[in-house]
Amino acid sequence: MSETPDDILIQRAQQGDEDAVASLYRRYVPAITRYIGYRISDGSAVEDLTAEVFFQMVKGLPRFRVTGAPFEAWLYRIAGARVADYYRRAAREQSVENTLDETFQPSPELSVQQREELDALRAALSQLSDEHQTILILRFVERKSHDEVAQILNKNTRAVATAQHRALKKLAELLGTSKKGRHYIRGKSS
Amino acid sequence: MSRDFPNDMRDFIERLDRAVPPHTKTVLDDGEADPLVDVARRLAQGPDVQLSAAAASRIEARLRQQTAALYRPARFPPRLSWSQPLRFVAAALVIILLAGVVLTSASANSLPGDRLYPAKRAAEDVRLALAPDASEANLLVDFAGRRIDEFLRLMLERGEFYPQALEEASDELNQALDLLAGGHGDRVTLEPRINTLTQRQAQSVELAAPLVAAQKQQELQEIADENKVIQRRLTIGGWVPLFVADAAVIPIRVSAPNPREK
Repeated sequence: MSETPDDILIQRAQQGDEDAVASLYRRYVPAITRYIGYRISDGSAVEDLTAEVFFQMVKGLPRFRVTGAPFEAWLYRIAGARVADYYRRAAREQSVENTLDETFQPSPELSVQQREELDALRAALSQLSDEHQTILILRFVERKSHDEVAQILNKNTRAVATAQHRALKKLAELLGTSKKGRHYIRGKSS
Repeated sequence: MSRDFPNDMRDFIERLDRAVPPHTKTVLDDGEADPLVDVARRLAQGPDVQLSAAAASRIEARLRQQTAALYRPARFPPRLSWSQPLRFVAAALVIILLAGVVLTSASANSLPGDRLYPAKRAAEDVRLALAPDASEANLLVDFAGRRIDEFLRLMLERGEFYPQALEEASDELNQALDLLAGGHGDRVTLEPRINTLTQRQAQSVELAAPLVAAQKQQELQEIADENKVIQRRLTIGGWVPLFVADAAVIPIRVSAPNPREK
């Protein structure tokens, strides 16, 4: 049985259909959680920010207009803004650096090795610009095509490909990825 | 993919697409040595980050609550059935008021005989009817000034003789004096203005006298006589003199009638 298209769910959600809202949430919560989880290490913050994105979705739905752009583009924009807010707030409180590794509680089924790999990737990604982080996460974590990434970011495909190249190059430098092996910028290695 | 890409960029993207094909979770090609492809593969093979089932359910429940609260019908009672016509009447009144304001301002410079002149006079009547007793004398003096202006403008701009304007000015000045004599209005402010207007009225009569035909002279004379009565009243605190031309003027006190009661 095929999934109900986004447009239909959006229309129903805009009329106050709780099931339609829940369907949209269930459809997009894995990707949004991954996006936030690859950018923020504090597990409780990941949950809070993910929830905020969808609360914002419900609040904004009455004004949302279907324009042909993917619905998830809107969610990623909200998520990006929430992450930026989080870091601004954290910078003011100067506490995020101290809690980066200590408080992160990702999915309990992750092995120690997986957690270390996630820490390394996240730490390296955090050195990139917001847009480069988003491009890499959408392209490789979410496995989206260049066209899809371009559509979500409202950019042309060529610009996205060029930015992706730069972002990967920078990330490779940060991760020290080469034939000789890897080292992690936060002092951890596999 | 754009054909305008440089060859090395296109090659790189093609290698990436082979290594990390979109929308697939298949086993990745491990034969690449390019560090960029390698880091892309590391990202693609990175651990999944997901909410716990409890957290996901918790958020979903809150979303449902939020949706229900957002779209719940308002709790206040339905609007009463008469509110709609009341709003219509209010809107109509506002429109009439606005139209009145526009018409009044447009008619401000109109003269007797103009199409908008009745609107000007109607606006004056409304202002007079709505004014408190203390302001009524002031308005009457204002209107008397307008009548004298209208007489002069008609005569000088259009060559028309319209003595009714001066007669009306006299009536309005007399009414103002009646009100002042009855203790309504500011005598200190208004009496000098009335005095000035009577002088203007007298000058207007003098100006018109040589310009009008003999049969109209009588009307001018009557206006001039009334003008003297008003001037005399000013000197005796609003009392009405029995005789004006003679020296033996015996003033009598009048019970200042309210023009509204006419």
